[in-house]
Amino acid sequence: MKRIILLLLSIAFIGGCSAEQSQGEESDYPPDLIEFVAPATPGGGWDLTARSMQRALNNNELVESDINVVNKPGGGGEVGFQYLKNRDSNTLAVNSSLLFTNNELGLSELSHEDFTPLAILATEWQSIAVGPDSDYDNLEAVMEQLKKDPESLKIGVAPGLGNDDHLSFIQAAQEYGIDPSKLDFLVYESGGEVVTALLGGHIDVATMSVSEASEQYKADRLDIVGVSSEERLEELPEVPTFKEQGVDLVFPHWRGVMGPPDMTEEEIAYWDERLQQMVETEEWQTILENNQWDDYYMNAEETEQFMDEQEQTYQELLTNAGLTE
Amino acid sequence: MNRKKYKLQTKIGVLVFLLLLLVIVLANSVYAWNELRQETNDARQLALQTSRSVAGFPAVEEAFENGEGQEADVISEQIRTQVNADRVYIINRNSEIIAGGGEDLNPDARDAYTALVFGGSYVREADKGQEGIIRSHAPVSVDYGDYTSVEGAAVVEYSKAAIRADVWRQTGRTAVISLIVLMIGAAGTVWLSRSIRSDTLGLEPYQIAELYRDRAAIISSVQEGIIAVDNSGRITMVNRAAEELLQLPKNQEGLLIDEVFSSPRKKKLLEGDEVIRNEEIITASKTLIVNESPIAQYGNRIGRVFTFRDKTDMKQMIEAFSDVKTYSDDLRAQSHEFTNKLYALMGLLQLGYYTEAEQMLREESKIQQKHTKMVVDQIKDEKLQAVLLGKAAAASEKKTGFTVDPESSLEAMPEHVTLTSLIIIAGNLIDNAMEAVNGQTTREVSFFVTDIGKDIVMEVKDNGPGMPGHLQTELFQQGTSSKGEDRGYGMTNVKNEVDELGGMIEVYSNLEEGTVISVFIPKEIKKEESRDA
Repeated sequence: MKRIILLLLSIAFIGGCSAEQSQGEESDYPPDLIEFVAPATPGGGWDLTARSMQRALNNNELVESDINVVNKPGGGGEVGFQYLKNRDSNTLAVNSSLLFTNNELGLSELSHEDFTPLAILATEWQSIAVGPDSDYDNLEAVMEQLKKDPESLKIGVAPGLGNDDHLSFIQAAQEYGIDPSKLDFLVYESGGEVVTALLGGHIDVATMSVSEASEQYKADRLDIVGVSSEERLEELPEVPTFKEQGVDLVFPHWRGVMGPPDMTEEEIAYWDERLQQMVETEEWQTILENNQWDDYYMNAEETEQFMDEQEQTYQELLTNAGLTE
Repeated sequence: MNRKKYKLQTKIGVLVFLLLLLVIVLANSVYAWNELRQETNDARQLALQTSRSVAGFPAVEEAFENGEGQEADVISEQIRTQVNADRVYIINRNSEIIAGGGEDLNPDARDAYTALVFGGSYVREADKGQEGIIRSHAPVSVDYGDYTSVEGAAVVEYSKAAIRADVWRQTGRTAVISLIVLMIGAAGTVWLSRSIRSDTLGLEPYQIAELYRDRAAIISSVQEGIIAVDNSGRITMVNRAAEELLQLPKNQEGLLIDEVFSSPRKKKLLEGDEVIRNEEIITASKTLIVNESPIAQYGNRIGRVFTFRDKTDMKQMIEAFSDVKTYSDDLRAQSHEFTNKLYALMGLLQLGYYTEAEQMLREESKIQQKHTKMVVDQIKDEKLQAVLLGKAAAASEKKTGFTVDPESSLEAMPEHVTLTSLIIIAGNLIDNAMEAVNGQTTREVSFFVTDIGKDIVMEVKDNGPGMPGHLQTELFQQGTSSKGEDRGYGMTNVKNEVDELGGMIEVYSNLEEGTVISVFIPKEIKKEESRDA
């Protein structure tokens, strides 16, 4: 018995030592080179977010270290997230709601619990569009038709089911009292193809992000019948929100930053401070404006809470748990 | 000790059996639990993979395109048998079965929702009444060229009851093996307790404990010294008497004989292979008689027990006893002589020879007075007076002239010189001298004692035939005597007593002239003598 106690004591002692040591090392943070993972191909939303952060942080001398953006495309973010999970705190990654949906749809074993949330930075908004010559020129008309006969309209979405484009439409339909399982979604490979299908009359309705739709809208190739934001958007002042048209839903397509698991308090505090300063810079504001993003900043603590809520929401949405049989 | 004494066999048996039972039950439970978890996990994995592959079969996609489910039916059933699933079936968007299936099938639209609406593939465990099932969904996505659309889902079901049954079957097999182990264990227990009992000569542990307790008391109460050694010469037991007799320090158990005894003779004796019977060994002060008896088990000697008896004690008792007997004999002889003299006196008186009678009385009393006076005046020690008077009487009986040298003088003897010592030393010397002069025509023995100086000096002189040289050197060894067999202890005893008192003996003997033996006894005992022989 005595020996066991001694052993435990010595283990505790060694543990204590190593804990102190690692705390001592933390004063070296941040390292000379920081890696930002964009879990997608260059040019996408995640890639854009990562590179914008890199620019805003380095140009404003908020972070002295070199920042490297690494693209890890595949599996709807899965490849990049798996990569991050096995890195140390020198690596961060951009994330979005796919972190939850992938898990729920059997595409990933990861959840937000596996990482250290640092911030939510910005959000895009979702839009619902119809063809330029459509019979339905507002969201209410679309929803009424679907309520009457859910299978009567073909809805285009890209590049797969379960993304925010898809989910926002499902949730809107649910809010309007439509059974989402009857809806007829056609899955296209890219947003471009959806627009083409809409123009060609192959589909009746399309769901996509505002940034994807607005260009075509301005070129008058489609008509946006609603946006998922709280208030009308500055760049599309004539387009009403979902809420204005009887669909009580605000749906952000947010983007955030997270680190690998087990980051220390000190490291979290470092990024909390820097990112807060970053979103206030002029450069970041310009980036938001250029990309038609809205500021959606939350600090690390708020992000953690937001993530928990979002996970709950997405889970209910995906399993139809909100509906009773 | 009111506690109930269980038999050793019962104790070991119950304990080992219970332990074995506990271990086996635990091991089996852990195994079964693990197995159940493992199998459930495997079933989940297999269900997910199977539903995904079924969903991907061209025949399944065709079934949606053509509305003909026969081929998909065949494939579903084929897959079902291959992966040993309970059910494999395809549902459309309205959760209606279009291929595969099974009895009592009732697709769960709610469970299929995530697959049908979001194209998710997943495994969920559903509780269907008492029987749980593991059910996996994978979306069937039909490619229409420009776009794809989720048209249905492939579903694979495993029944938890079937998994449990499988685990039970396997656990049953290990349980049988466990039972055999338990049997072997039980047999082993019986064998073990028997083996222990045979080691303990059939005694129960509490009996052994009693024996051990009693043995310690018995052995320490024995007057004989006892030493037990094992076969390697290691001492396993020494009793108190042995410690005293051999003057050993305490706690010699565990040491080798070699380390305990320094004298080569003892070592040789105790380490030798010969059985010792009444061997004598002599220590500084004592003569010990050693006996040996072997400790045997299964007919082999595994150790030896030595016993030591003090011969000196015994012998001294015998000697003292025989000396006392001699004195009573001497006194009887003297009284006999007096009786004779009284008869002679009576004869003279009856015959009327009064002058002669008077003369005789005067002479007798003069002799008596002379003896008594000399002894009493010059030798103040009562112990020696008694010895000398007794001897004088004995000498007078034997018609031997016994004179105490007029030069003798002795104050009281010091305390350490006991009566026994004196009787042994003086008595034996005088007896020997009187025996030596037996064959002479004039027999003269004289005794001289003085305590002038540091020593008490006693000298006994006779006019006997003297001793040849070799007898003089062997004089004090046991059994040396010119008087034949079974004699010769007297001088050895004298020697021992003198040694005990720290004195010395000188012998001066001339053939045809006689012998003078002088004994020197120091008045004070020298401290710290070396005692081991």
